[in-house]
Formats: sequence, structure tokens, C-alpha cells
Amino acid sequence: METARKKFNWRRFAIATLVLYIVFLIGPIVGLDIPVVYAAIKANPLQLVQFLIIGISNGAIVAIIALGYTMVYGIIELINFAHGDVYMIGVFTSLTVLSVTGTLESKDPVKITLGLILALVIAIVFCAILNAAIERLAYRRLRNAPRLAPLISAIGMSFIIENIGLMWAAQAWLVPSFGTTGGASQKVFPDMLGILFASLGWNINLLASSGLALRLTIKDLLVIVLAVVLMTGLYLFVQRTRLGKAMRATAQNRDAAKMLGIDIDRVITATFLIGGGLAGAAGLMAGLYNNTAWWFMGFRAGLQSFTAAVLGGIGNITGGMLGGFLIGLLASFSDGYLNARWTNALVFATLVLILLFRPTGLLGEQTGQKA
Amino acid sequence: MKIMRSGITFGILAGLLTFLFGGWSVAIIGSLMGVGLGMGLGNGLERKDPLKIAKDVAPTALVAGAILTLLSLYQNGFVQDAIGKQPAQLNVVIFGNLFGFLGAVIFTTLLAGLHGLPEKEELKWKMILLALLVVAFPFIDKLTALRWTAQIIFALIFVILGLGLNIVVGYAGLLDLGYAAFFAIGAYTTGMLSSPVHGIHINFWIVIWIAAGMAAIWGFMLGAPTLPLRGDYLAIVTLGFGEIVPVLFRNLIDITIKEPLTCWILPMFRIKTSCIILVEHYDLTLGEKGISPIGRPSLPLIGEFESSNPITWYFLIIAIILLSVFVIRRLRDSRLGRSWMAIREDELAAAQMGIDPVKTKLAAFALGATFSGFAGAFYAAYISGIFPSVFEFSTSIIILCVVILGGIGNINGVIVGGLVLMMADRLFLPALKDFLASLLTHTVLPSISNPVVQLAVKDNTNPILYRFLLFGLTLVIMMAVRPEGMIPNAQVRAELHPDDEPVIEAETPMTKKAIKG
Amino acid sequence: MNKRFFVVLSVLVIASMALAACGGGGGGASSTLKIVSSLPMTGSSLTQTQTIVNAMQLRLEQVESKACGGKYTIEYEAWDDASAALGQWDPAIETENANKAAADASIIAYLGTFNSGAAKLSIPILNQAGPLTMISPANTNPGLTKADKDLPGVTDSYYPTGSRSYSRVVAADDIQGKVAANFVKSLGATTVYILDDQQLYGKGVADVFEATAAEIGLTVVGHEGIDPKAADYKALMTKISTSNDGGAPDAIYVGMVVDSNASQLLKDKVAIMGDNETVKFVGPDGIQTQAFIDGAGADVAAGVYASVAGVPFSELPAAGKKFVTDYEAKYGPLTEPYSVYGYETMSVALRAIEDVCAAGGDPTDRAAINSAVFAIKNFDGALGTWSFDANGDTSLTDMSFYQVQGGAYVAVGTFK
Repeated sequence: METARKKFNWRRFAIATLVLYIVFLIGPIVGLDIPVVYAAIKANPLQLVQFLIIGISNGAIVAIIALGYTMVYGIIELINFAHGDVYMIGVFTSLTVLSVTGTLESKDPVKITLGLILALVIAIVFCAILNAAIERLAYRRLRNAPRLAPLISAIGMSFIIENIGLMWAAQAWLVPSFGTTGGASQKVFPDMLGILFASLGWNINLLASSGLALRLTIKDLLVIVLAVVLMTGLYLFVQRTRLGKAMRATAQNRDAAKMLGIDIDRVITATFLIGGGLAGAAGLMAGLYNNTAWWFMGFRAGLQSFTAAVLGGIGNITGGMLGGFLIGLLASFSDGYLNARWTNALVFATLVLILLFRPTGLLGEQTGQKA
Repeated sequence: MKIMRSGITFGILAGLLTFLFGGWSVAIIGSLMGVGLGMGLGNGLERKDPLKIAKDVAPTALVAGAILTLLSLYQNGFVQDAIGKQPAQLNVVIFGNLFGFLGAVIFTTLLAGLHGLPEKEELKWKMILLALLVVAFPFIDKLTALRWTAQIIFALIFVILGLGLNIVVGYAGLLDLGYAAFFAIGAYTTGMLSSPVHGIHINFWIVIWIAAGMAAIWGFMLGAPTLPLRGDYLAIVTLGFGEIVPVLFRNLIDITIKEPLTCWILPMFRIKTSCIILVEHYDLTLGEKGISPIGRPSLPLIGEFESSNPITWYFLIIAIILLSVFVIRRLRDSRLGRSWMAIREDELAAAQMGIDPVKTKLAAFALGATFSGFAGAFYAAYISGIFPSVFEFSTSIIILCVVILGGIGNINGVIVGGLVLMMADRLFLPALKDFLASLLTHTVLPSISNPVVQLAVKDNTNPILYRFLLFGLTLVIMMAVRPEGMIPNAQVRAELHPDDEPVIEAETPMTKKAIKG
Repeated sequence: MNKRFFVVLSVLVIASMALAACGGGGGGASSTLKIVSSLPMTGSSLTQTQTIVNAMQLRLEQVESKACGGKYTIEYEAWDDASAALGQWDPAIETENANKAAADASIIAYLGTFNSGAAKLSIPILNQAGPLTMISPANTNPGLTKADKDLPGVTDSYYPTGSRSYSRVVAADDIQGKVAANFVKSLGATTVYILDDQQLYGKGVADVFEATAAEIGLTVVGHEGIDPKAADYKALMTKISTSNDGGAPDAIYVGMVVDSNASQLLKDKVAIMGDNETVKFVGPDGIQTQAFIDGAGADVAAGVYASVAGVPFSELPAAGKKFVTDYEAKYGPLTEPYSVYGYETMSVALRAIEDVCAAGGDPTDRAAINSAVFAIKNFDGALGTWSFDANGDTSLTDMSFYQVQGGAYVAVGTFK
């Protein structure tokens, strides 16, 4: 050990230099032009903080969806492709509730607050039931089938739900702002939080009075806080409650759990209910934050969230959260300092790199060769 | 009476299919129904004298054929009118139905009867019959002007892709969610090496090998670092790769490479150098402009393959498939193939037995990619244009569906899966959509008098809006009915339905692992 | 019993066959001309393509599907070149559509495509089939008709027979991008940031915009491609908000279609940089659709400018105004500017048939129809009076600009 520390590792140095050289050489092709990035940061260091804020807020939404993936995967080892689309349904549900209750036209802060809470509750309940229903209809009977069969079923379900979203977005009698241009195009999710705070006379930018050229909006804060609260609640639930323990037991060894008298079906249904509820909550949050309802939004969100779940170590709640924030940050920095057209490729490239060095994700446990 | 019931079911289903296509389709649908019904009936019967079997199934064949003909005639007499189309011409009706009826009866009795022969003979005759059908199909299609050959060619491209992916997923048990990337690499290699865009025109017969080789190299390069990953981690890495590749092809349109030492590093130390620029503003892939046109293959007697004549392309892709099936069969039965399956079953045990898991898996990745290279080269030349949007995630998913739907790990299954899934996507669903749409505008809508209801029905019943739903339902129902695929691998089936054991017991660690790898 | 069963069955089959044969034996009339269109009937494009198809149908109904004084009946079929798997136009299906049209001798005109990429595949196929004339209502990529200086020889390779068979009634992007740059300058802007969706259309028009901006003294602060599927663009907009020496540029030009997340881009732009008066938001006809406003919200979209080839509905000639009234009477309110181009393509096809008949030619002869299309000069159509040049491009180069006011696009001016 002593000699190794003293002796300068020439081989490692050479490799590091070479890698650095290649990054400088090839990097600019994908926008990673280090001198340019350096100059940009130097010119406006405060903007780095701004990208941080945007990244974390976006990451929070990804993280909550990722929790649903990670829980379901932890228990039945299924990539629930339909999960992202359940989130999309969450956006539409909450928008519809806001429209039907007349909250969209209201300027009264009390009414808006009540409307938002109602939308949150209904979105959570509806998505939870939808997710559990998907499990009941499409996955349960396949529990003993080859492991890839439920995957196809999940893909099929994802197509079906996307189509439901497409139909939903065409129902202008339900939500007048959908307009008459059909369900395929993006629909606006009105900025209810902005309206709410404007009606209270608050400035939506919390840092407006600080004199810094930074924006930390109430929306950012709310999204982050809600994400952390949901994650903590979920963590405590899984660690402390009886059902949570049953879930962990089922995830570890389903047969053994069954022998100990755990009702596997009930545990799995509960998992899907919780995952769906989280997706519903994420739906409302994303709607309020990005102001968009679109039938196709679940696809990309699902892909990113699943990536986040894997990045953090699938099956691990804290890991899913961490992965979500990381992806949000990466995307925000890539948009900001590199080139927006490479962002998606960069996110996945980072995922591949991290998995190469930590094959089970950031917080995943080395499970060994599970038989 | 059980065989009679399946005869009636087949007849009704086939007859309803003619509703969608009309015209000559009844002839082809009848023959195909005959083949299917004959195979199905034959397998359910005891092996006895062929003539006796034929006699036994003859009534069923006649009934099935009759139902088909009656429905097809009904279609021509009434349904065509309801969807606002002219009835077919007299000669088409008579001969179409005659051929359909005869095809149904003859093929049913023939194929069922073949079951009476000894097993080897039966197989031989069935293969001969199949070969005849395959060869005759494009010519019949041309005569009947149905234009299904082009759709079949497209389905066969996915069959090749499925066969390649089957090596990775089915044999070696590695879940690959980004297989379309190799398809893209094959297609782009072909596009860049035989189009006016870069001024390079290499003969197709050479390019197809370069494309396959290129895909194999990339399969190797992706596989080498990722193989320590297990199960679904590997899946997500391949998914990431599948997402990156289309982005690369879309964005590599303005490449500038500057030598960093002379451009930045030395200037930082205030050493004056002239910046060496290796490449400047080079457009490699043309992005969304797409590469077109792309050179086409040509053969001495036939001349250059033309897009308007699908027959030459049909036989080219059949040749590629035959070659692929031959190679994959040899691979499967080779030492390497057995190693793949050993690794799929139990990697630890296999390693103990002296199999090198990394080498074996790498071989699976590279060989699997090779076949998508063939498919990519064929696709590029056939379409004569490639665009990055074709190789997105959804394409990877469809290839995976082909493999799983058909029967994972089974060559015949993959072929059937590819044909069924792509026919559903290309022929059945669009035809169903057109049929429903015309039915709606010509019959349903005029019969609704209330304008509000009429508008609501018109807005919400446009079948175009339901294509995702139909596709999704197809997948979900398929999996609910036959989760092991249409033609399952014997091993998988054995694991799923062990004799006399309750199904729930099938979920032993062995089963799970067998698929998971 | 068994024997009787067979006999009854056979009699039944033969009898019904004869019956149906008598009933169905009308036979196809030989004097039928077929026109097909190939457009992507899926996704957000459906809003636009459906109105194009409706407009074509309307045009045909106006002549009661008859041509040459009733000698020929015209059939029209609307083909779809999109697939469920891709969710947009699919190269394989477009190729097959073109081949199908080439093989059906009764088809004498091919109206399409919507996407320029698709046209690249079908032009060579149809060029070798007669040539079967192809008239597009929506392709705006210049390279389809005019040689691209970066890719020598590629445009010619679309026409293997050497003669032209492709024409379009809409002005190409090189005109749109140029006019847009001048327009942005006329708004008083001196600095502009360009974004595009990396698609053929969006990037094409954005590149022309950039080139023109340099010529007329408009400073381009940056030009970037975006990821059209991203959930939001707040980081990108933050970057742009300080890209102009620490401040925001005067205007943002987006070369994209509404499908490429254009509404989201606008929402994030407004959230970060304020309304569209402070920092102007200008786009091409790809965002001139009601779907864009529905996606962004009327208040957020207020003030956005978009250019469209041709003149606004209110300034159309009498034939064009009649089209709008007839359309609205039949299909309801019309907002999509491309509909009138669909109408015009059908008019061109019908006119070519009439011209061939008038000259004593045979309208089933594809080559004759194609020559008649290219011979069209001073055509009095719904778009005005215009001619095709030798490349198949229209002589109409009018561009009109629209601004979002009160939740709808309102015409604000016409430019050359």
C-alpha cells in the first residue's frame, strides 16, 4: 500500500489525459465545448443557481413518478410501461375537476384553494383506482406467465390509456378551453397558482425583493416541498406500517411471504394503488408547473422517470428520488450550457456511464445472483 | 362435432375479413383459412389413413367454405353498398368466390389429410406445400391486384429484426429495449455508402455485408461494457442506447472538430499557435432531411430492382430470411447456442461448467445485431430513403412484441409473430378503419336525424382516433389468451404447463430465472 | 343424410353465387378518373389534413364529380400515409401509397404530400409512372423543386425521367423565411434568437431566416435546435433571457410546427421573459393553427405573430371567399389556412382534366394531364391569379402575417 501511494501511477495519468483530450476533441460535436461552457459560467455565475432551481423543480416531478415505477418493480419486477400514462390521466383528471367545479374562471383565493385541494384528492383517488384496475385486468393473470408477457401487456395498456387521453382532450363540453381542434394537440392547463397568488397580491417570485437576478417562484417551491413530503411519507409508510412491512417482505421473497400468511394479492393491489396515487399527485403538480395537458406527455415522462428509478437503484425509494433530481438537473444544465437538441441523448449517456461504474444504480444494493 | 364447430368459427371469421377487403380478397383469404383450418384440424386428430381423415374433415371444410362464400357474397351484395362502394365486377365475384371456396375446401382436406402420413413424410409434404404457397403468393397477389405483397415485405423486414432480437432475448435471455438502434445503424451505413449525398456509390450486394458488419461492431461495442449489468439494468442501458442513436443521426449535421491542444490549451499558456481545424461544418447524416435516394440492388437477368415491382424485393427478402433461419438454426444447435441457453437458465452454473459468460453474451449481442444490419440495408434500399424518426423507441418495442407475441425463443414463432403483428398494423387495422369510416359516413350518419347527436357521433367515432386503442387491445388480449406466445418454445411451454401440476406451482425460481437470465 | 347435406349445401352455394352475381354485376364504368390524396391522418396534423381533405371533397362536389361535360366521373380517395407505430407519416406507407397509385391506371393525379420528407420518396416513383402528376398543397422544402447548393444533383435525382412531374400551390420556405426576417426587422427588433425543431420544415425555414437576417442587418444572437419532446424549456429560456449581452433579445423566431411542442416553448418563454410585446415571438405557418393557441392559452399566446403563404381569408378573391362560405356551411367554422391550398390542388387537377379534354386529348393519359398541369398559366383560383413555373413552383409569393388577438389569429398585413 505504501509504495503504491508513493509511486506515481503513470498509466492512470496517461488514461485520464487521453480521456480529457478526447472530451475536448469530440465534445463540441455534442455541445460539450468546455471553454465555451466555462466562459458562460464565468460571465454569469448566478445563472448556475437559476439552472439549479429549475433542475430541482423539474426533477421533483420526475422523482414522484419514479417512485411509482420503483415500488411496482420492487414487488413484481415488472416495468409498468403504463405508469407514465397514468400520470398523464392525472393531469387530465385534475384539469377536468378544476373546470367542472368552476375553479378555472374563479378569482376568489378561497375558492381556488379549495378547488385545487379537491382536484388533488380526486386525481389521487382516480389514478390510484385506475392503476389498480390495470393490474387487475392486465397483469394479475400473467403473474405466472413468462416474465416478458406482462411487459407486452403493459405496453398494450400504455397504448390504450394514451388513446383514452387522446379522446379526453377532445371533449370540449367537459373543459371548454380544449377548443374544437381535436384531441391530438397540446391543451393549456391554466396557471392557477399564478392566479391564486396574484389575487392575494403576492409576487410569485419569492426572490424578487432580494435584488438578485434570480427566480424562485412559489410554484418551484411548492413542487419541491410536495415531492419531499410525499417521499418522506412513503418512506415512513414502507418502514413503519404493517402493510409497508408486508410489501418489503413480498418484494424480498414472495413465496416466503405467502407462507408467513401475507395476502400477496392485497399487497400488490396496495402497491399499485399507492403508485397510481403518486402519479395522480404528480399529474396535478406538473399541470400547475408546466401548464400543459397533452395525451402524449406520459410517454416521455415515463421514460425519464423509469430512467431515474434505475439510476437511483430500482426498488429503492430514496434512490428513485435522487435519480429524479439528478435527471432534472442534468437536463437543465444541458439546456442551459450545452445545446438543447442533445439533452435527451446526454441524459441517457449519463445513465449508461453511471451504470457502468455502479451496475446497480447509485443507491441500489448488490443483490448477488438471485436465483 | 367439435371439428365442425371450429370449421364454422373459421368460416365466419374469414368471411368477416372479406368485409374489410372485398373484391378478390376472398380467394386468398379462403386459401389461407383452408391452410390454417387444415393444420388445426389435423393436429387434433389421430394419425390414421390420410384418405379417411380427409373424408372425416370434408363436411367441415365444405361448411367453412360455404360460410365464407355466403358472407363474401353478402359483402358484395349489401355491405359494399352500405359503405358507399361499387360492387365488384361480375367476373371477380364469380371467380373470386369460386377460388375462395375451392381453396378453403381443398387446403383444409389436404392439410388435415397429410396428418395421416408418418411424421417425417407429413413434415416434408407440408414444407413443399408451404414453399409452393410462398413462391406463388406474389404472382397471385399481382393477378388479383390486392397489393398485399408490399405489406408482406414490410412484415418480413420485421421478421428478420425479430429473428435477430430472438438471439439476444430468446436464446441468451438478455432483454434489449433498444434494438432499433442496430436497425438504424444498418440502414444509415447503407444510406451513406450508396447515395448521391456523400457521392459514394457502393454496390448493394457489398453494402449489405458492410451494414451487417457495422451493426455487429456496434453490438460488440455496446455489449462489451454493459454485460456486467444484469437483467433490467441491461434493459435500461440498451433503451438508453436506442434513444441516443436516433438523436445522433438527427443531429450529426454540423460537425466541427478542432484540435484542442492548438486551439485552447496552448493559448491558455499564452503560446501563440494556429488552431488546427480537422473538420468544419460537415453534414454527415443530413438529419431530418433524410438520405434519399439510395442505390438499389441489381441482378444480371432481372436488372435493377424497382420500387414499383415488389416481386423482386419479395424474393430478395425471402432469400435473406432463408439464409438467416439457416444460420440461426445452426447457431442454436452449435456449442455457442447451447452456451446461450445454459446462461439463460443459470449463469452461475454455466460459468462453473466452463462457459465464459462474457464472451457468450457478447457473441449474442454482436450476432443479434448482424441480422438487424441486413434488415436495415434492405429497408434503406427498398424505401430508397431513411429518416431518423423511423428508428425511435416505438420501433424497438414493436420488434420486441414480434418476438414475444410469436413465442420467445422459437424461430417459427417469431416468423408467425412478425407476420401477424405487422399484418395487423399494416393491413387489418387500416382496412378496419377505412371500413368503419365509410360505414359511418354512408350508412350510420345519414340515419341520425338530430344534428347535435350526429355531430357528436361524427366527432367521437372516427376510427382513426382509435388506432392506438386497437393496437393496445390486440396486445393485451393476445397476452391474456396465450401469454407464452402463439408458437411457444417447447421449454417455455413445459415450464408453464408442467404435467398434472397446478399452474401456480409453475412459478418456481427455475421458471422466473429461465426467462430472466 | 350425409349425402343430402352435401347436395343441399352445394345447391345453396351455387344458387347464391348466381344471385349475387346478378345483383352485383353492374360492372365498373370505364369513364372513371380517379384522384387520390396522401396525407398523414394522425396526431396534431389531423387538424390540418382533415380540413384539406374536406376542402378537396368540397371542390369535387362543386363540379358534382363530373368532368368534360359529364363524360367522365371523378372518384376521390383520401389515403393516409401515417402509421400507428410511428404516430406520424411513415416512409414505408408513403412509398406504398405512391406505388399503389402508380399501379392503378385509373388514377390520373396524386395530391400530396403534407410532409416534404414524404414527397422525396413519392416524387421519383410517380415520375417513372407515366409520369403521374403530383400536386402538393403543403410541401415547402425548396430542395424538392430547386437545386440545393449544398447537395448538388440531389434535386435532379428525384426526377429519374428527366422531366418534371411535381408541382405545388404553396410558396417554398426560402420565400417564407426571407419575408419573416424582414417582418421581424419592421417590428423594430434589432436582435433575434432563432430556435428550430430540427425537422426538415422547421430547420429549413429557420436557416433561411438566419441567412436573410445577416443580410438585412438583424443580429442573430443564437440559433439552436430544441428537443421537441421535452417536458419544459425553462432552462433554455433562462439562457436566452441573458444571451443578448446579459439581456433578452428583441425577438425569438421559432422554425417549427405546433406538433413540436411549440405551445410549451411559448409558455416557458412568457414565464421567464414576459409577454409577447416585450420579447416578440414570431413563427412560420406551422404554428398558425388554432391548436397552437389552444395549447398555450389565449392570454399567453396574445401577441404572437405567424406568417402564412398567400393572403388571409378576408382578402381572397371571389372564388376563395366562396370556398370559405361553402366550407363553413358544410363543415363548420374554418380557421386552418392550409384548407384553401387543398381546395386549390383539386382545382388544378380538375382544370388539367378539362384542358386535356378541350384540346381533344384523352384525360386518362397521365402524361397529357401532367403537361396540362405544367401548362397552367394565369390560373384564376381560390388563391388569386397565378401560374406554375418550369420547376412546378407557384408564382404567388404573397405572405401574410397574423397576430394572436383575443384567442384567435387575426391578419395584420400582407408582404411580398
